[in-house]
Amino acid sequence: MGCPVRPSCQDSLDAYRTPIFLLRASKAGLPTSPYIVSDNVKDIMFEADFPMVLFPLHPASNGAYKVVNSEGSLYRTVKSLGMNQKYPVCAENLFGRLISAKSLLGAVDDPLVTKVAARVYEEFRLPICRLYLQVLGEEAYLCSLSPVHPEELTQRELRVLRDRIEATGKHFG
Amino acid sequence: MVDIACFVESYNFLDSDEVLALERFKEAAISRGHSFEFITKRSLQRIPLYDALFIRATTDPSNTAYIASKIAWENGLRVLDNPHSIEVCGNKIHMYKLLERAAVRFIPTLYLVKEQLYQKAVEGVFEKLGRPVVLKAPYTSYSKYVEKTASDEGFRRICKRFFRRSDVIVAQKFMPTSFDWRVGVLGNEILYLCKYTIPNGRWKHGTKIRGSNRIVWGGTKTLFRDEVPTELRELALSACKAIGDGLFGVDLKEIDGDFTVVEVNDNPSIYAKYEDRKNRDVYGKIIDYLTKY
Repeated sequence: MGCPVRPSCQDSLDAYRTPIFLLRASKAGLPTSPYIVSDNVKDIMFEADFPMVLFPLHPASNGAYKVVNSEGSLYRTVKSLGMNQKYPVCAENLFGRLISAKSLLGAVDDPLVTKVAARVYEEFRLPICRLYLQVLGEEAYLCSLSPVHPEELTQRELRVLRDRIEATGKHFG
Repeated sequence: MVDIACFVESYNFLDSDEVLALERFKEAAISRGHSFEFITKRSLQRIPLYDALFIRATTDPSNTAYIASKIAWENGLRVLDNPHSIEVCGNKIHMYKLLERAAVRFIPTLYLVKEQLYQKAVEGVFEKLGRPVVLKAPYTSYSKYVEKTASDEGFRRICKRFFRRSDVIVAQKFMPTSFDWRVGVLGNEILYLCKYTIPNGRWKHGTKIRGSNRIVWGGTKTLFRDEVPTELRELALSACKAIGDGLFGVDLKEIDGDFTVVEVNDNPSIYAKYEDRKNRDVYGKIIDYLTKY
């Protein structure tokens, strides 16, 4: 039907749901943070230690996340990110330094993330996205991915995008 | 022995007929020597430990059920409904486009975008489909966001509201009937056959009462699956084939002996004493499908 579309609907749906993103990334051999998906504070505490970072699963979350350091704040965050426990959350142990990087056709500014970003692009084909990772030593572990809104792109980034698209039209072939 | 997980949400246990149906699924599995456990969003992590996943919670790409389906699929479990079915049936435009490509007869349909709300375009829609027309937001279930209008003003008002949910919406010819056929299909075979009747004075099987959250549902008349008219059977099967391989509920209209598809639903409702009334083996057939390798 129609013409080829990149990213595919399936890739976009998968990439923005953290556990599916991590599952597919890990199947593709990318380093990922261990995670637990639940709406239950006790289950999360059984599997992960403080500090931990929580990513929501509801589709309108738009890159929201929270770092929690105590049971009380975990309880409140599970409730708020899960829209009053309508959705579970994805909890990950925070064992490194949490960073985010804007990926434009798989290219990022941060040299620590370069390889991972290029491989995420190969797997999901999302032309523009924000990657969340935690860095421990020289290794970057994927935590999540979120969309980037057009207003978040700087003039320089728009120029880089235009140049890359012009140079390699095959990205959209 | 196959370990089956059944993904449910708390609302699946609100209706006694649905609870009874879930119990019958469990009985069918156990009587065949399999295990059958209910799991919720609390236990998504455990999905890879099972051999098969059966989803009874409402499926939609934005719901947790999609995540459950995808986790199962990526881990190689046999799964109903699979992520592809959820993705297609969760977006009516995607679904109708696949029916169109497979040349399956469905209700005359137009796809509308925001720019088409000027007078001439609105008149054009009524000219092509007649008055009234039925408007649908693409991401709907249980007859929600499906409305009918005969006036230009009503058309614009409903469209504006639906455009808040989607960039493209669906306009369809209004085809009044006293009932809709519901054909349950599993793996390209007829599973059950029902007539969903339209309540008196209404035009769809489930109608929300104005000013309240209550929905009035029409009755369900169940038939033996062998009673399915040949043309209905072929149309329902070809509609499902266009979407994928799994468990579907196809809604069809019958007008003067001619059948036309209204829509294909994944995750069709199966309530005890309704869909299973004449075909008590629906539970066993679904369990057999899930455990077949």
